[in-house]
Amino acid sequence: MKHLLRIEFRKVFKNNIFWLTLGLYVFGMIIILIGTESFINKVVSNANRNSPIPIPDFSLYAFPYIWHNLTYLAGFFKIILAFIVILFISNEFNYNTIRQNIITGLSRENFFITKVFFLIFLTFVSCMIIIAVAIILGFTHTDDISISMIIIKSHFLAAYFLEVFAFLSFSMALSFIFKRAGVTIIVFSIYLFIVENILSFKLNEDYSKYLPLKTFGRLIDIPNTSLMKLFGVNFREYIDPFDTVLTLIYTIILLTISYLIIKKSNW
Amino acid sequence: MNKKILTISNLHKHYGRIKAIDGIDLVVHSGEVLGILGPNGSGKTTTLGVVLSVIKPTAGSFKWFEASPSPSSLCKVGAILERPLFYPYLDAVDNLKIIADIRKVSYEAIDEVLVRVELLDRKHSKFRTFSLGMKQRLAIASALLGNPEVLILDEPTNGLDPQGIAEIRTLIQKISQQGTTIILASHLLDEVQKICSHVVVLNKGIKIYEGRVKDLIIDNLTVEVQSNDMPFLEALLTNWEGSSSIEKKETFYLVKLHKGYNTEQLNHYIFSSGHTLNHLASGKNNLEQHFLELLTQPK
Ligand SMILES: Nc1ncnc2c1ncn2[C@@H]1O[C@H](COP(=O)(O)OP(=O)(O)OP(=O)(O)O)[C@@H](O)[C@H]1O
Ligand SMILES: [Mg+2]
Repeated sequence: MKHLLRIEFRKVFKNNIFWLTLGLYVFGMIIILIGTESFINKVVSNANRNSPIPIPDFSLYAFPYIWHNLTYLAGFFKIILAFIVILFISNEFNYNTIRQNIITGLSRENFFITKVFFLIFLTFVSCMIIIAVAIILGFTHTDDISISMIIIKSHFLAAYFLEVFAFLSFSMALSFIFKRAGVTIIVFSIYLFIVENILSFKLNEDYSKYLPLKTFGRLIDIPNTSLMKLFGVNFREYIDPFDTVLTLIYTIILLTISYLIIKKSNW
Repeated sequence: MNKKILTISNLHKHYGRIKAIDGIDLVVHSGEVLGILGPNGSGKTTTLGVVLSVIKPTAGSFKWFEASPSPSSLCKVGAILERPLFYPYLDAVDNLKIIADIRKVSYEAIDEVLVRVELLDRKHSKFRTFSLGMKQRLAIASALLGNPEVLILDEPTNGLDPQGIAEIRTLIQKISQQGTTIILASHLLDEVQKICSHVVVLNKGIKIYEGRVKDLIIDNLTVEVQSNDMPFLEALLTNWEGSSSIEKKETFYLVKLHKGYNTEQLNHYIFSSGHTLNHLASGKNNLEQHFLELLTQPK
């Protein structure tokens, strides 16, 4: 297994584009995760001036709610990771190095495993950013800290891991189907931004709840804030088992698609 | 008999109506240098792609080292298929480290193979900055990594300059002298004639000849002869037991010799019959003629 990790990481770690995109991702995530609270509060204080009832300040960073808030915000950026996946998987077809890998003696199964490692690595990096930000901001924004307060909602992190991993599995399957980065990114974007939105609008709720990317996104719902409570809106504060199971099933299907393409094709 | 390295049985690969391979049987023994000869599109790369497990055969089977093929058997086979395939943004060493990791070979072997293909001074250059010849040599270096028992080379001299071609051929000969079995696909007859011990000729996915290179040449020695008295010469040639066929060309006769006869014997026979030649040339491209004949023969 260790040699598979070495193989995959040599392919990506020595690539400047990889570090550039990952760097942008990390930087962007940190800026947004740290900056959102003061941004919202600025908007709120502007709105307060003409509001009859005073809107209280937002606090996104107190334990335990910080897990929910950060994972929800971070979910918007997973598309950058998806693009990294598409880019590096299509490289293997573009340079035909998948053929050389197999000729050299890498089994098709192991080639697949190296790619799964890559997805896990990216998902892991994303989770680490959230953990780092949560620890720093959480400790500075929570008054009475206890271990249980830190841990109680940290299962949002597990849900976030699943959300990102499922999303990346989707982008990997598309890369294996379409092979070329440009085509894959276009198909991916059209599906994500247009097709699923139209379908979820047109379809009956009974069916639209099965749309894969919508399901992944639904794992972590919009956090309830004091503002929403004010308006009596109440979002889900727990992770729905239906969504979790459905996401797991989709992930398995998507990984199987990638695996079968590697396994059955002529390279 | 040497042990069997590769056995191909009744292999077929069809792409829709195109029969890239149409029933090929082949056995390669240890220590052989087998040339796979055939015109463009005859199925050379497809055959090698199948035994290297990147192309799924339509029917038939093959065995490496007398066992069912597995990825680990490929670790003992060094191969270049069609063109060098590397990560362009990685340097020579990193590209070879990936190969070494796949084969579970120590990185120490890397410098050694780079020396053999004379790329050591460019080991830290990115693959995309390499010239075609250097790319080709890096591919050979990667195939040599870990001292594989078998080397598969699909047109290894493609795109090289004459000096590069000569260097690669010398290298291949050296490697084969160390006992490595080599399978070389080529459409250059000259190359096969110079390097190989055995030859298989493919055409349209079918094996049309198989044998030793040596036999192929002796079998089919053709000689150009010319004298001042052509009718007399023709009569002499017709009577000689060594000639298998005589063909009249514009200014000379093209004589095909029976197996076991050579140019010297022909010359001796003419001279001892009291006649002299003013032109005698043994065909240098015997293999080429034979090759072309094989290809034009209706199957
Ligand atoms: N992926 C493919 N799809 C359809 N036909 C193919 C494919 N690959 C090869 N062929 C066909 O199979 C036949 C054999 O091709 P192959 O590449 O094996 O020839 P070759 O002997 O290596 O030729 P060359 O000397 O040009 O390299 C050709 O007719 C080719 O068009
Ligand atoms: Mg070819």
